[in-house]
Amino acid sequence: MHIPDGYLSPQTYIPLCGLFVGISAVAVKKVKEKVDKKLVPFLGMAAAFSFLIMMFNLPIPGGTTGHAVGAAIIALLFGPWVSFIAVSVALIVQALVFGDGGITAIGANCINMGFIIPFVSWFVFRIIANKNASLTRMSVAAFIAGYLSINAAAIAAGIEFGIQPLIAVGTDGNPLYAPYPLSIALPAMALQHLLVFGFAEAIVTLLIFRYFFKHNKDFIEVLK
Amino acid sequence: MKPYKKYSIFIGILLVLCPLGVLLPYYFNSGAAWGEWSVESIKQQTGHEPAGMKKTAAVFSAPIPDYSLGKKEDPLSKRSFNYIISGLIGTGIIVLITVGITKLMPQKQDE
Repeated sequence: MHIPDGYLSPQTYIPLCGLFVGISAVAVKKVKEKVDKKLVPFLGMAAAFSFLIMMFNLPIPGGTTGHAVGAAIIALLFGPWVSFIAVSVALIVQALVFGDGGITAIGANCINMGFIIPFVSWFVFRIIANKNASLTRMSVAAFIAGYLSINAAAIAAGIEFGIQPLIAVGTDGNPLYAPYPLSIALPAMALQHLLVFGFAEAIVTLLIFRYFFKHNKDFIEVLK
Repeated sequence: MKPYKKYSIFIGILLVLCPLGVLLPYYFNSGAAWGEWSVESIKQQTGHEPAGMKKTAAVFSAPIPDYSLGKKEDPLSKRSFNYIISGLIGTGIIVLITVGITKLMPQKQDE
């Protein structure tokens, strides 16, 4: 889901980079307001975890690869704004050092994976369970939060890919950037996450949620 | 055991296991992620090389592209080892950045 350089036209990536800067300003303010010394080191830990979990490329046999992001569980444990900052740091390092995701697409990628996943995860969990729910109900909530949130991000990326042939066409009528139309890009991005990679994020979210529930229950932000 | 120590062990386990991200796609014969192909690959797929894509893609090249410190033809064992080193480098940079970010933030005292 790391959109490379050259897939998005400037009329897409410039507004998304602007939006990313705006969201970052809000995130820093929100985290500053409530961060206490105990939470600070976890930002780095969460970013490192997200970075590494994204290195686990999972194969669709004979097809493409994909991966979990870890943003959904970071949101449940530390809140969606901390998750946004942590995952964005991981994504920016991936782009600048490892060429995973383009530098022009940093805004798009941080919004898709760093913003959409944490907030969808947080709200889906809250809709399904609260702090008084049974562990079974919370586990179901964590699983569905992980599954739906990464799919929401995949759909956003599919739309960003798919609108390119509509908005950026050369004088010869050929696409200038990502060439596949919405009718191809959107189902391709959505289906592989609905069928395969969504379950990776769901299982990661479920397992880590249950671990923290058993060992550091008071610590889980979404149950406060 | 202190939580940080537990966490460091967890990160260490992820680092050791991360070559699975190279090995599984290799054994299941899977290619790039959807929408992360090279310009050449797009040209092969569609018969056309998008002009804007070619220009933008050439703007920046990362120091360690694709988490690969060696060559694509390297044996799997070497690629796996290099993948761990890339993971280590990335984790180190991230820890430094987040320490920097948190130093810049005035912290609420919890005592």
